[in-house]
Amino acid sequence: MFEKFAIKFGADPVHYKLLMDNERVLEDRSNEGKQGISKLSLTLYCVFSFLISIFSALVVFFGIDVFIYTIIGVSMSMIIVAMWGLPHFDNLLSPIYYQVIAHTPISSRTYFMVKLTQILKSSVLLLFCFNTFPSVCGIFLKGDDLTIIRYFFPVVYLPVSFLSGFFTLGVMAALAGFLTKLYSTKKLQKIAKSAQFLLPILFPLSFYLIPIEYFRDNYNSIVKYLSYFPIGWFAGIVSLAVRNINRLGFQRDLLLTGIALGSTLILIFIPLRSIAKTYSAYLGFLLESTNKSRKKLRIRKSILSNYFKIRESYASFCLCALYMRRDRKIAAQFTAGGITGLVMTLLFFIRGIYPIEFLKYHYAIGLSPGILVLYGYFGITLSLGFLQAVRYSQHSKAQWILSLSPYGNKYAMWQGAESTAIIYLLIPTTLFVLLVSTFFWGVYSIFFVLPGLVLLLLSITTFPEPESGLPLSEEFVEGEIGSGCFSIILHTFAIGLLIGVLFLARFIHTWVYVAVYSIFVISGIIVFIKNRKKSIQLHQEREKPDEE
Amino acid sequence: MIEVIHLTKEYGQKIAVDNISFSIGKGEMVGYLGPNVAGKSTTLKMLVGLLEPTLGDINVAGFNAKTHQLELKRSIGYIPEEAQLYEHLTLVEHLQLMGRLYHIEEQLITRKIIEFTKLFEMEEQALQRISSFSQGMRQKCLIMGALLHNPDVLLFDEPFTNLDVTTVTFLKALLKRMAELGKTILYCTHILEVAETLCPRILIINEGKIIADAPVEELRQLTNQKALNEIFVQLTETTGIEDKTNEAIRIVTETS
Repeated sequence: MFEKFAIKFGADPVHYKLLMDNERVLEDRSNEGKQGISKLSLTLYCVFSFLISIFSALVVFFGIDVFIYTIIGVSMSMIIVAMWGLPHFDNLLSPIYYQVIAHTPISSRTYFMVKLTQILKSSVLLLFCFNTFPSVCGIFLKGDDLTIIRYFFPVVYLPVSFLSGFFTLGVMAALAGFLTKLYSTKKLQKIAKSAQFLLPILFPLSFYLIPIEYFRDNYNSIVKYLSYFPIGWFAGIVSLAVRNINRLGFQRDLLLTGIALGSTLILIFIPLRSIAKTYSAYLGFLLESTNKSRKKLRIRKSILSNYFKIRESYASFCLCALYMRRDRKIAAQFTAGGITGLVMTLLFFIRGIYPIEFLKYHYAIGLSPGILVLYGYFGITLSLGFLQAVRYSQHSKAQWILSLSPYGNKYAMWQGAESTAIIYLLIPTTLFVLLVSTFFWGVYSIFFVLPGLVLLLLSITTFPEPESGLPLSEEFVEGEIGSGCFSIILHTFAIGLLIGVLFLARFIHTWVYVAVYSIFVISGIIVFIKNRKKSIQLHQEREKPDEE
Repeated sequence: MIEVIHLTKEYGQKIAVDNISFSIGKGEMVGYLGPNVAGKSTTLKMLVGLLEPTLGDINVAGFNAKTHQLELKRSIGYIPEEAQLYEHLTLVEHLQLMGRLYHIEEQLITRKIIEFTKLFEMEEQALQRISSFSQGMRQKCLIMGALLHNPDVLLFDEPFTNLDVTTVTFLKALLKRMAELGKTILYCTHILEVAETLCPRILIINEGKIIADAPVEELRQLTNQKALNEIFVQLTETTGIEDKTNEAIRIVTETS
């Protein structure tokens, strides 16, 4: 099917098939030794989408009409596809193997179609997983103006949801193509990076922005307002198909259907064709450097260099910190969860789901469930998420630089990555939680932060290091986010268990709690310091030349 | 300075390096030649510790590879065949990383970086990311990184790849001076002209075995050939060049 579609768009059939086979081989080989994690990740994403679709489909029992039901389903489906597609659009913006085939007589259109097909293939699977359940549930929609066709709701809804998904991808591709004319590759990658973080925010934000009560009271004006957006256009198609002709709003649905179909066709036929044509010119820019030169070379010395006793750890720390900021694949893995959490937390408080009293409430000094949940969530997603991500790199072949260096202790290198997590992620998170705690409890806030800090420090130091012991040493496989979840879940469970012990102690007796708390915090700090000292000692012993 | 004793590397059934032995003294510059897949890069990788030998022993700068690996690594400056680098780093950050890994003081690293970038005419690119560099610039990065910690032994695998004539001329002179200063240099290359002009002694490896180890003059007398490429062809038993050329022309001009 994809082949026919690509050929219709002017792709060379022989080249197209050849490149597709080549891409498949490259993908399979990049997965070798990784137990097909990339495919597993898509499967996980599909499962995740299916679960969300169950919740979104349950609104069918809230008495909403076809138009709103479709709007909810289609908008979520579009966001899911956009979230999945965005990292993969990088492949369109800066395809890594382009230089290999750039000099061969393969047309830019063919190459563009190959890249687009890869995105479409996974999107189709995703759209199917997300929309099947809501399409079946649509049969149970109620309304006086519904016709017998509502029993064929899945047959209408499913193609519309696919159409909306392709529309989303089309918009993204057209936007990417348009932006390539305005910005450099570097700027575009930055835009894509920001968008990757913004999209996860849309989920919780939509929760706040779409006030359900207001919906009920001002239905007509809301529907009119939504009709200006693509989600409204696609909802119009479903509404037109399953509702009675002799009803109010039939003309509106007819108009929306026209706009939806027309815009999708225009989007596919005009901008996509134009992008495909000019793609090679764009790719030509990729090979050129866009950096401006500077005249005087100034090298600043970091104040942190004095605090590292092991030089290799400092070298590794600097390397990891730079990759944390510059490698968007690493940054995306640990910040997406953090940002989503932050927005969700804020919105929960704004909407009063978790009142401020939830944070303020405490069983004893140092034991507040709200603060522990907040601290634990951000500490784990950011710090452990980073440690999981920093094992991998798209530049893993450069690990010879670390392997070749005369490091005394393998752990010293990984300690650099741990220090990055502590200094750049855990300390700011701790200061934020301390600030919130100080607002409630003044000087006692330190007692509320200490248990979480100790647990997170221990989690960071006990987080499993890569087999080689070196950061950025394992080959990055697209979408490998799911693979490290087990370690993170295990640590979360352990943290939860230890906090549970604190709660239990408090319920037994205040003094038991004080004793358990003190032992817990002091022993945690001692274990952490001992671990670090032991590592330095081991390193110094290895550094000493053997006595003959 | 470099002592290789009965060194063997096996990959399953395939023997990449087959029981080779040689030694290179202090201040000596030796050309390590051989056809593709002869075992040159494998030897170098074993010398620097990136590959574990199947059999044999290595001593570099008086340190044994098995017992004094750290000291051995400290005394080596290595340029690999492929310029694989951390591309998100700038040139300055790459050199800082190298310096820190080799325990050079921060101030000295800074000073050396400023001077090196000026010397290699890369001042303007010093704060740019390696990802934007050309192949030649990447090669310069590797060379600067290998020389930063003042190693006693230099192991270079095709160091002049992608470099311009000016830089190559400068580097040739630099390597000669370094050898005079007592640095030991093992220079692995395909470019026979460079090896001929630069290295007084030549080691030739073929199918994992050392087939020649002598000064260029001695090789000339031994094979009755004047140019090193002719000596190389004779020693590696590369025959039938004429036939191969004819066959290639036939394939290229084939139309139906």
